[in-house]
Amino acid sequence: MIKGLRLLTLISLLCAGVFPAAADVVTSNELTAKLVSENSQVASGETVTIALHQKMAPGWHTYWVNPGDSGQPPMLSWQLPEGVSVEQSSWPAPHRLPVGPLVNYGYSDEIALLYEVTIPETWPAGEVLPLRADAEILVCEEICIPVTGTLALDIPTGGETRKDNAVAPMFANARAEQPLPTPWPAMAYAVDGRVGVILSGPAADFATVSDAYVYPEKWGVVNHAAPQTFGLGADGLVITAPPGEGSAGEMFSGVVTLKQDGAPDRSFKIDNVPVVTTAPPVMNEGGAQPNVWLLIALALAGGVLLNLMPCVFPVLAVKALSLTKHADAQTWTRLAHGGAYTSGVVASFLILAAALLALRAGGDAIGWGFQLQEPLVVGALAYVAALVGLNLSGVFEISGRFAGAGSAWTHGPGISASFATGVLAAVVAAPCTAPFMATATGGALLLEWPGALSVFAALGFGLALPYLLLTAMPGLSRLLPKPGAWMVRFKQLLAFPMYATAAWLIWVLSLQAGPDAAFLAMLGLIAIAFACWAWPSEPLSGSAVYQGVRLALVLVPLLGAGALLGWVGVNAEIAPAQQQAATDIAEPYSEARLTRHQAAGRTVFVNMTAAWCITCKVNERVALSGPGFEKLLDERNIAYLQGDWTNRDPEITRFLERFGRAGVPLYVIFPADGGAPRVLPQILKPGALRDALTTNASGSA
Amino acid sequence: MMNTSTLKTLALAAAVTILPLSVDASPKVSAPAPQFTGKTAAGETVDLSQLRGKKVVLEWTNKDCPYVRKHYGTENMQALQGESKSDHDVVWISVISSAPGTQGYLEPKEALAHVDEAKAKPDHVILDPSGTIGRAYAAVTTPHMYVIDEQGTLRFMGGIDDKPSSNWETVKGAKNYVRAALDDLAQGGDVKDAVTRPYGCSVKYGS
Repeated sequence: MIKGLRLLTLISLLCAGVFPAAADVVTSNELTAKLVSENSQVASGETVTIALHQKMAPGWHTYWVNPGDSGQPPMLSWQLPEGVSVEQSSWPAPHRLPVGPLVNYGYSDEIALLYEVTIPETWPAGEVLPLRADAEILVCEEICIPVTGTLALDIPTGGETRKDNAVAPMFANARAEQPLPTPWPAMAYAVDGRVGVILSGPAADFATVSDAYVYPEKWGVVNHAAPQTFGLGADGLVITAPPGEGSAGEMFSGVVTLKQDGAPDRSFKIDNVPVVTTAPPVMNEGGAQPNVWLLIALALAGGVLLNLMPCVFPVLAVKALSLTKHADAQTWTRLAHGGAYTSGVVASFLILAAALLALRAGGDAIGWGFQLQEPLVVGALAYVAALVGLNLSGVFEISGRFAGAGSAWTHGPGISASFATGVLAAVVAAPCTAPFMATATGGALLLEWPGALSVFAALGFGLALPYLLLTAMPGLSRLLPKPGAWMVRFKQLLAFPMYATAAWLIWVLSLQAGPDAAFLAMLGLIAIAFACWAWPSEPLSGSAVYQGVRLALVLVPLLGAGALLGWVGVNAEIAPAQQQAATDIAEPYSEARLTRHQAAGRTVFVNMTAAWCITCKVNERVALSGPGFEKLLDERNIAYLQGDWTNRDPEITRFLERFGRAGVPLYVIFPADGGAPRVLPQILKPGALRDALTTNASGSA
Repeated sequence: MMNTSTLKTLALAAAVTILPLSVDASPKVSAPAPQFTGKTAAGETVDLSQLRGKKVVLEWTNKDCPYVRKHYGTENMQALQGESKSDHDVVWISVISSAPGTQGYLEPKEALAHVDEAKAKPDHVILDPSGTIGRAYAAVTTPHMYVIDEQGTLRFMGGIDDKPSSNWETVKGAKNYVRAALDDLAQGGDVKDAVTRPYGCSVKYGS
């Protein structure tokens, strides 16, 4: 029986093209392995280096000490003369080798494992040192072939050790493949649902890191096939992975590989560091710092574009038209108004940005658009939009003090009125910046304070720029149409975009805080309309009682509207708003769900949206619904995850930050093969979306 | 107001850090084994839920994988199948998750012929060319073994023994984790080595 087995073994080995007799090389079509000495002669009592050199056919791999999901590291069992010892140096840094939905750790093309051989003092000089090892080396492409045999290496000995120049380049390469000792203190952690490594060091050391991966020496510590994330934490670089099937244990050893912009990949050895199991580290994903000047330019252009938004344009148009009446005013007066208006806009943006940064520094997981995540703020903006609309409709006038009205143009108070108009423009623009300025504002949040504030200031300056130009160049304003009776009608026309803005904000509020809150806010709007109607069109005269009643007719409804809104704000805190239900075809986003679908080898399409984001809604209507889209998901087995950021959600904020964004929309495709995620444009066209999903879903064979 | 919402944010963040593990898709020992219905080489339909009351062993296999060949070539697997069925009344199911065109993929007739040729003793050979069952169990290697108890609870998953090698000589003297798990269950206790490192060739899933 045993004999039969031996024979079978022999036959199977011969079939694989492997000769079990001792030889310098063990070889098959896929792999040639041999032992190589660094020295042509070695001396007794010394420790010298030899290598197990493996040359693989293209597409074939051998494995690291932890082979990942499958595979097996090369195994050598040594037969050594008395007193001689062999010890393996650390393993060369591994690479990720995807096989279908699985991931292995190992090597391609060519690799050399290094061993230290110690020769006893007593070894007689001149006697050849015979080293023998039974080798079992698994080499795999899609299929696996074990290559086995006995390797032999005979090293001449003598009075001194002499290098063999012929093999020097091979050994130099082998040493270059070794992981470096880490210059940063390292620590491992394993907290519910996450494992990882922290390299403690200044943020500047990791600023250019574009990818990071941790290879644990032990099988099952991480889920080998799942993608890892990285980011800068309070202490340094944090690399996080979903856990594997085994336990993390108490001590961690492994290799960390960092990809840094403009430098070759570097690998560092993490040797036997303790595994902390208490608190998860705080991290901001995506370590690289964005380019400040590019962001400022983007913000400036975005600000200019904001002038065309339905919520901003009416305010601007009226303000600009008022200029035509004063085309002959002195240049410095005009400039003073332009400057005051610009200051108003920029100051408002800076205050908003400072509030955002301060809240984030305090640990709140929020991003740009946070101003629309409070029902109270959404309601207040609806009130402001309605007030501006009613004013444009001519229901009430604020005589001489507001919105750059004519009589105050040449007088002192007009300057502060221009400042106030600037503030108003920034406030009404607030709902529009969130959906349209995602890239610049998102990048800004990754910068230090001065850089971040500069970007927001540029956004405000861009918004103010058209009006500033009009005031600075009288010639320009002469190009505007001549004033006349049409201006009144035009102003009234401009009221309608403001009403539309109010209607939209009430809809957002209804999604955030429910239909009751929306109803109360609408009652508030009616109260405001009433107050505007009761607003005295000329200075009051008559008895004190009459004046008191007239004043009360304005103040009581206004206070009532405020109270209603206050109730909405408080109530929304007590009964948390319901998340907008994900559509039938989408699952709600969560980090766990994303990881799970990826581990299952599916292509994942993530859509980050919010009720107050117009772009998102347009995309969902145009490209992300309908039978064509559903069929595509079905055919390509694509998991569709939708995250709703209408209300605050730190998990979604983290996801946005990972891609350098602070706002929605954000569309990302995670290819099934575990390749780099692909970010799609913010304006989706059905054809382009189909192409992107098709190529990324089919590239996973 | 900001305080309440900050608290809410913190609570949510805390919940998020705890959640992922509990909703992870991969099978867990001591939890219900993932359900499946599979088509066998003999043309029958096997529904795991119909096998309640009996222990079930799942064996992922690929006849051309050198690690599978080690266990069949030495008749180690056939012996384990035989004694599992006679001593523990086990339903033994071999699963082939190789996609069409990949190593180890078999048409029903070929699969039946191979069972005869290898003198293998599974109760069923389930053909899973889409990899649905393999992915539900997160099977990564051939062989990759699972033991499910009478209540449908997964009690063991992982490598068949402690010798991760394709060398036939390593079968002798190896500690067989499936045998140990069945013995532990027979004595009414917990399985001592309930999760072991699977070793072998990768399962040849399609895209």
